[in-house]
Amino acid sequence: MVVTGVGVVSSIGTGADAYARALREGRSGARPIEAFDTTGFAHATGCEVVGFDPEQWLRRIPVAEAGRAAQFAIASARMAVDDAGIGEDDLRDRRGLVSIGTTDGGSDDGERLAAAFVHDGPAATDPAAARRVPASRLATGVARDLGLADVETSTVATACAAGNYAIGGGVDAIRTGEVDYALCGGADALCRMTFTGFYRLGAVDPERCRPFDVDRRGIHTGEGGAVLLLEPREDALARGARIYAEVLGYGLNCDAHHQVAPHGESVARCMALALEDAGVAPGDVDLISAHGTGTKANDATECGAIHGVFGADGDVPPTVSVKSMLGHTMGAASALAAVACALGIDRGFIPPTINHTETDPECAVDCVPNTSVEAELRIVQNNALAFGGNNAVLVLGRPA
Amino acid sequence: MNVDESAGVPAVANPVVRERAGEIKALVCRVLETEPDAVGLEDRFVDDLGADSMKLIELLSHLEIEFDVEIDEDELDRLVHLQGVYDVLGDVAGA
Amino acid sequence: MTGAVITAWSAISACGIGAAAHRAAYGDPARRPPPTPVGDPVPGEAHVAADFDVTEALGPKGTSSMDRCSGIAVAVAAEPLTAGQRAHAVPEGSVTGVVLGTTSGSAQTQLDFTRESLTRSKPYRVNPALMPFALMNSAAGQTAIWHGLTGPNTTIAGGRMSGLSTLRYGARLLATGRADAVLCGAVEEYGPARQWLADQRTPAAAGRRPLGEGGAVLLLEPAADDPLAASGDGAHHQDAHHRDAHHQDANHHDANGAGGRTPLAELLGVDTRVDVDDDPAAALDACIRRTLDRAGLTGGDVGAVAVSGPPGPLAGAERDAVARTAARADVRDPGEILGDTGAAAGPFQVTLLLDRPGVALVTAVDEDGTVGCGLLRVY
Repeated sequence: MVVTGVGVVSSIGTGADAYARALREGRSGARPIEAFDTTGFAHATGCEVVGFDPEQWLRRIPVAEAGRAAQFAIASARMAVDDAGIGEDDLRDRRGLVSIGTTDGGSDDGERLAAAFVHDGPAATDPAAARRVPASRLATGVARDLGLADVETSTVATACAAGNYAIGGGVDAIRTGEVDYALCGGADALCRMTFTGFYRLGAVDPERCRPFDVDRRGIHTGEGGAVLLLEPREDALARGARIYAEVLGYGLNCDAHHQVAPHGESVARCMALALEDAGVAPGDVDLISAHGTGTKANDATECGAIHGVFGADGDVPPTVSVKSMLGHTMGAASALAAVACALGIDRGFIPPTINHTETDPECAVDCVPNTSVEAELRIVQNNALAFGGNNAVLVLGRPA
Repeated sequence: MNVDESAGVPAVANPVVRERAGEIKALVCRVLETEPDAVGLEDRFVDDLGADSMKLIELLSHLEIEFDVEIDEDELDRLVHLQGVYDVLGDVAGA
Repeated sequence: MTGAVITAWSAISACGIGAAAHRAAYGDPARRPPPTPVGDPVPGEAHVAADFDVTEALGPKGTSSMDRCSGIAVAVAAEPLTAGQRAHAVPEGSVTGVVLGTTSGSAQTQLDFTRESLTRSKPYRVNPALMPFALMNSAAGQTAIWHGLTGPNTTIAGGRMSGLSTLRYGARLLATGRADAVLCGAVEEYGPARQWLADQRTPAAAGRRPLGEGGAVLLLEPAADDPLAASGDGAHHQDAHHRDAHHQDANHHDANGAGGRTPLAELLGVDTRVDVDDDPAAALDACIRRTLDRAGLTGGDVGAVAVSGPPGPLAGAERDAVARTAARADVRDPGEILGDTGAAAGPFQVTLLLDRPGVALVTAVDEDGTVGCGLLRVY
């Protein structure tokens, strides 16, 4: 099956072309956070989407009924459909799937409600906001706004790996023949709760997000959305569609080990499962888009696991982190990274790991520092790890 | 004074820490989910008591909350046993 | 046909802890506890799982910051995973997945975390141990950690559609060989935060029942004669007439259990739709007809239906669609016993149908605009 359309809302560019340009230029989305009050925090840099106008994208659902993450999901899905050159009416005649990954869902509304509760007690009410909180609104919102009735919808809430999970859900539904297309990806809005949690864990970098760097100090929280349109290759060929990439396979597993600390052996196992599902050997992989959050623990553990699967330094393909540019967009992260992989395959480049000064010996990979490079990519692996030990790895390939 | 005998009187000059030593130990036990009898002054949280780095950050956070102090994350290197907790708090509490 | 069978289940709710307590309450109205007043700071009455205490159930280690949502999930998973109601526990070396549904995770933990941040002298003086519990995937991740389950571990925020979504997703994990067994279910805790959100979402005048707390899980395994998913040792159970939808052999399930285990029910199909025309009854009607049709059945074959019982006028739409498509079926509503268990309603619906052999239907309607149904053959 193949990727024939992509849609992106991000801090470095909205839409496939702007996003591809930003990735190639190594642009940074970091700026002082304005989405919530940061008073009292010693530092608060994040990767916020600026200037997003939901009115431009929502056609059937009133803007007031969709939370910010749902708006990102709807905008991304609409872009992906447009990008694929399929009319929304044509989609309505086919059985489909909408799957959106998220960490926080409607928690940005939830935490504003919680703040009202803390200040004013239960007398404080905002029924419209309360109705935006259930996370199912992300996937259902896409279907309703695109007018798609005959679709299975799921909002996949597997935290920071949710985007890859959602894409995997689409892959399997197409493989089993239960659906004819899948709109899948991820979306999240900046949340004070998530920022506060990572800050407290000492996992927010006060300066810049620098994955694999010896001086890295953590993530920058970010926001955005990304959706890919997947369909069987025959269908795409039959309508003469532009094909970005082939979806070769994916793998899922769970560390079953620790709530927040990734487990190297298990992460390696997930990569092996994905490569096996894709029918490719480690030596065939030309690029790894790492989870690469920029925390001490993640990058060292993930790079260790990569070495475990791919072997000694010379055998490890270039391993980059687009989070250096986008921050950690939570449930959207691996979907945004998957789109970056598809664009890299299609347009022949490797996005850089920016903010890089000196590679940590514990992360001994070629992270393509600071400047993108031209490259013919045949097979690309996209990693995602999450709290709860939820790992998901996706493998994309150059269309045959 | 409410100093838990099993912890001994901490060898720190800070009177706040000496006075609240029992309370500090109780907090350590609560975070580490351990019985007070099991926690000696120099029993190492990670090696002897099964804590992980998440637990140590949890401990640091609760110490900040209970004592209304700011503890630098670098102090995690010293928050390795009860005596270390007394020492770190001794440097920042009531100063 | 999904090729998946339900081989075990458990539940925790106001009715008690474990499958036996629930079977007893389902069978005897006198054993169904009425809702109890819950007060501070948000008044109401609810069906709280009063017998369940996180520390009591799981011990003091690892539970000091655990919320009831994750606690119930961990505890309810134990029974189906161990021998007891099954001939064997999950075999060594097999891959077991966990697929749990939710509405928005633990609203209480999210509220408590925000309260700490807003009321302490610094906004970051929060208990960091709360943070992972505040995420929606906590219940599934904790279940995996406590029970050592390294298979796919997925959280689906499906609201009232969670029961159907997790069964469909779980069956697909089996069909694609990603797991040998999957725990499918959902959990919903009770707390002031959830009550307060529910009060706002649906005005009392629109008609809604007291909230219910609890969780239910179903162990899903490949039917032993399913050629797509069967393990090698199940191959000798190949049984072509198993696929005959009208076949009802009383001994059938003994001979064809997953890996020799006794299936309680076969999952014949799941179908969901999005109501884009503002006519949920029509959308659900279409789902039910298509699902029956695919299984080679008609509405007249359906012996029992369990409805999801959403608040407000949607409950009537759900009942209308059922009346139109399966008019003669015995209609059951777990909400009458357990209160509104939100995302957990789905797995509870299934557990309410397992006592009566024959074709059974589970329906669901969510306020977000999704409708769906699942079709079971109960052995």
